Amino acid sequence: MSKENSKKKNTITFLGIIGIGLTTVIGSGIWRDPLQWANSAGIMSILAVILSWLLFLAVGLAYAECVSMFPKSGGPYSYVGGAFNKKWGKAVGIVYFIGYLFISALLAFLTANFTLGIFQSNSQLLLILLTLIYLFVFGIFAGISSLRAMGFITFGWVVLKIVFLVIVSIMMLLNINPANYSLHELNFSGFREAQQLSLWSLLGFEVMLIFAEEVDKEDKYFKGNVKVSYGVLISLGLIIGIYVLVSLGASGIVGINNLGNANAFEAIALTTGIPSQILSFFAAFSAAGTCYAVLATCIHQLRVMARDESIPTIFKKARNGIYTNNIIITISLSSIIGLIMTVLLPVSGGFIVSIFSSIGIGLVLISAMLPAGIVALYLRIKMPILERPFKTNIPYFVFPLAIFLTGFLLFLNIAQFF
Amino acid sequence: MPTITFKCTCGEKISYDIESKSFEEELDKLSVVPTLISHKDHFITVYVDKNYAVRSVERIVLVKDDESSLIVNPSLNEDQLHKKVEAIKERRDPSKEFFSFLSILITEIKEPESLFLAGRYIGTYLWNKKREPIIKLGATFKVDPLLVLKNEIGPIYKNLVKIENIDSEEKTIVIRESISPQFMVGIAQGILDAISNHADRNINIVLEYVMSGSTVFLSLQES
Repeated sequence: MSKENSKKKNTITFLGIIGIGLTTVIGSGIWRDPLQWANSAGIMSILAVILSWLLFLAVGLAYAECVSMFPKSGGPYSYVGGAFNKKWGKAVGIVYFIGYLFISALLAFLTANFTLGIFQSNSQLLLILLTLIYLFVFGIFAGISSLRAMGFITFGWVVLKIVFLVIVSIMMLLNINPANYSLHELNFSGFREAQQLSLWSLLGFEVMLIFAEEVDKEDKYFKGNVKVSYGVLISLGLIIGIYVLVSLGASGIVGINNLGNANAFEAIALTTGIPSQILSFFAAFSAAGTCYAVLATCIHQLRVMARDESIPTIFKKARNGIYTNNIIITISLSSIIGLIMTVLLPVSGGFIVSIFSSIGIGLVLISAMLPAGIVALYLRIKMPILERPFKTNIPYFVFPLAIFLTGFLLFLNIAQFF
Repeated sequence: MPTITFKCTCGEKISYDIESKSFEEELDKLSVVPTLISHKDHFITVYVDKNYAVRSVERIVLVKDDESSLIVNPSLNEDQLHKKVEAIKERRDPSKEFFSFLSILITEIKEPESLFLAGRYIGTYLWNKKREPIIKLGATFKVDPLLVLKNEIGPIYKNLVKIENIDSEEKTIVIRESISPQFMVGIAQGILDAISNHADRNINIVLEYVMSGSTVFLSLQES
C-alpha cells in the first residue's frame, strides 16, 4: 500500500464527520420520544424541542470554539489537556472512554431489544446473546473500517435513518387528527416535561471532536481549523430540522395526555398503518448505526491517547492499519457491561438499564460537556492570545449557559431515581 | 577589520569595528545587514550595506524572523554562545532554578550583546517549555502587542524579576532591580521569536525599551 493511499484512508471527509455527529445523536430514541413529548405538550412540543436545541447550541458553540483552538483529536482529552494540564486531559479522556463503553453496551442492548421486537420475541436468552453478538460484530466492523470508510459508512447509515424518519413523519402527517393540536390541556408542567425529555435526545454530537485531526484538510468545504467547528453547527442545524418534522407528525397523532400507557410503536402503527415490526426494524437499524459509531469512537480514543503516551503504547500499535488491542479491549469491556446489564434485567426490571444509562450519560456529561463550557470560558479570560479560528459571540452568556445546562442535566440524571 | 562610524540615536557620534567574516556570511543572505550594537545603557540596531556604509540606525531592537543579529567584535560567535548557554542550562535549568542559572551565566558571559542573545535563546526556551502542552495540541497565537506583553512576557517575567507595572495603555512593562537588564530584554525578544514560530501570520511587533541602571521600560509596538 502506498504511503499516500494509507494517509488518505486515515482521513475523514467533511461529510464523514457530519455523518459521525448525526448518527450519534439520531439513535433509536427518536422513534419513541417525540410521542412522549407530544403526550406532555402537544403541538407545543415543537417549541420545547427548539428551546432544548437552543440550549444545546450553547454547548455546540463551546465545542466548536474548543476544537478550533486545539485542532487535535481526542475531544475533551485535548481541550482539557490544553487548558489545564496533560494529567487532567488524561483523566477526562479515560472517563469519557468509560462513559461511551456504557453507552455502547446500552445501544447494543437497544438494538437487540428492537431486533427481537421485529420477531415479537421476549426471549431473555436471545436478548443477552444478541447484545453480545452486536457488540462483537459492530466492534470488529468499527475496528477494521478505515477512518475514511467509517466516515462514509456513518454518513450513509444516517442518511437511511433520516429517510426512514421522513417516511414515517409524512405518514403521521397524512393521518393527523386536528383535535390533537388543541392546547386545552396544556399546562406549564407538561411543557417543562416535554422540554426536559427532549434535552436527552440531543446528546452525543461531541464525538466528532474525537476525530478532529483526521478530518481531511484537502477537501473543498472549509479551509483551516474550522471544519469540525462548522461540522458541529451544521449537524445541529440538520438535527433540529429533523426533530421539528418528527415532532410535528407525532403531535398530530398524539394529543396531550392521549398516549397513556400505550406503546409508542403501537400508537404509530395504529394511526399510520405501518406495521410495528417495520418500526422496530427502523429503530434497531438506528440504534445499530449509533452503536457502530460509538464503538469506533472508543477504539479511536484509545489510539489518540496512546499516541501521546497518556496510556500504554500497546494501543498505538497497528497491523495493516488495524488496532487489534484497541478493538479487543473495547469489545471486552463493553461486553462485560452489556452482559451484567442484560443478565440482571429480569431481576431488576428496567432499573438496571436506567442505572447503566445514567452512569454512561453522567460520565460523558462530566468529562466532555461540562469541561467544554468551562474551558471555553476559562481560556477567554486567561488566554485571549490564543487564535480562535471559530470565535463565539457573546461568550460570557453562551459559555455559562453551556455550563448551566450540563449542571441541570447532571441534576436530572440523578433526580430521575428519586 | 572594517570600521563603521555613525550617529547614535542618543546623539553621540560613535565608531565600531565590524567582524568581517560573519558580516560577509550575512551579506550572502541580505543586502542590508541589521547589526546589534550596545551603546552605554541601550542597544541600537545599525543597518549596514555591503560597502560598510550605515543606511540607518534604530533605537529599537528589531530582529525579524529570517534575519539573525550580528554582534560587534564578539568574543564568542552565535554558535559558540548558544553552546555555552546550553551547557549552563544543562547544569541549572532556568525554568526551575533561574537565579542559579543567571548567576553562572553572568560570571561566564560579560558582553551586553552576548547577554542579550543569551536571553533571547533562554526566552525562547522558557516560553516553549511553558506552552509546550498547548503547542502540541496545535494551538496558534495571535500577534497582538498588548496580549503578548500581558499574557506571555509578563507571566514569565513575574517569576524572574520584580515587575512594577504593566501599563495596558502604553503596552509597557517596567522591570525593576534586574541583575542583568540586557539578558531580560533578550528574554522578551526570545519570547517574541517563539510566538512568531507559532503564529498564523508573520509577526509585526517590535520590542522597544529604555534602560536606566537596573530598570528597564519595555514596550511592544506594532511595526
